[in-house]
Amino acid sequence: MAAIYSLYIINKSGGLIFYKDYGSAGRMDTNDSLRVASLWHSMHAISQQLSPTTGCSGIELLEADTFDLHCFQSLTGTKFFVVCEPGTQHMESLLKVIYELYTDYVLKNPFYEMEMPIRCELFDINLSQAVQKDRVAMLGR
Amino acid sequence: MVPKIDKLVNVLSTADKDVANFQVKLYDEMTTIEGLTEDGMYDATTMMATKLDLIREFFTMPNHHRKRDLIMAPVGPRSGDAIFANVERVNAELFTLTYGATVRQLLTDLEEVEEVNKQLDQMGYNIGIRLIDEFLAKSNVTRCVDFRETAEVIAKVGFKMFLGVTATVSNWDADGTCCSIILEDNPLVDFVELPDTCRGLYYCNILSGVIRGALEMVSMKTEVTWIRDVLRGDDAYELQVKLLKQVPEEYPYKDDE
Repeated sequence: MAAIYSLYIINKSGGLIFYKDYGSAGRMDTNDSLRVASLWHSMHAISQQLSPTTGCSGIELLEADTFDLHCFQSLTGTKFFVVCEPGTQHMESLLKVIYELYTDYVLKNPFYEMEMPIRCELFDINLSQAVQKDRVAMLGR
Repeated sequence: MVPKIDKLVNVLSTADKDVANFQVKLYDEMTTIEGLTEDGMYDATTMMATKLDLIREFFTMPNHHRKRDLIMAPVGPRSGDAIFANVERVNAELFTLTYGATVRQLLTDLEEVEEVNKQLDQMGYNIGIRLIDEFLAKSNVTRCVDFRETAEVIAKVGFKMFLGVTATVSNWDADGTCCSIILEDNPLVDFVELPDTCRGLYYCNILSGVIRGALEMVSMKTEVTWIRDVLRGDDAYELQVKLLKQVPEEYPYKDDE
């Protein structure tokens, strides 16, 4: 089973509101993660413009030699993306599950301010369970 | 004969015994997950039976997580009924009474009925801008082609999912930007009679705010007003939803220029 390196959530204006890294590979400091987030936000927007077909919703998967980047954008404009080992399966499903966790444990928390960085313990707990390898395998049923 | 088997079992580590135990119990355990279909149970059982790590994980999961992973696993748009059957719900009476208490408290605090209407609408708006994401995440609906489809989705999936009732859409205007959402049944008003002092109150004004807020997050500016209200002596609840402006989402945003 391949590994997930990191998870990012960016708000609709491109600000990084959540970052978490898993495992040793691809670890970075806060500045780098912010840079990746805003870079991805812009690249995603540009890809929509460059697309020869109309109604393109942006890059969903970026495959590189050393990592895969899977991105999911909700209709409200929030982007969730994971960086993982090349060839990792079921990442689309995982991103959908993370979106659900975000709606349950972040948006329903009355003390969470919209568009602001996520500091919700319940979200962290549920998230770490969801990204466990075995759980991810279950999604691929 | 029997003692021999016992010995054989003892050779296996305790962890392996657990797993063997789990395998036997797996299907029974599946049947406790409310809302999982026969086929779903079968699929999930066969999928897990051979995967030892997965089985161990499954048995330590709380039921609502199993539900999310096994039933809610994303597969195309889901009907309002299907979602309603699978989300956690609260007692309807608790919900109705809590809303009643909120409206009562607002009336006491703000004194003016007009102010209460405004406050309820604002509260609804604040709920709507967050609720929309839950709606999208759990219903798996994709982008609507036009406002007509949007209205249908709100009435058929949205109302069902969050309030357990369905609404009908009618009274479309010629250019398809204004319609009525009609509610026959409204769980908010179960025990309510409006006194004469509150004649101007739109008791369910929170709902109009929710719709306005939710649609604004998917770039539709709308105006939502009450046309009919059973509490005011009409025969149904009718909300008029008027599309004012559709903000394009594409870059560059207009105000950046």
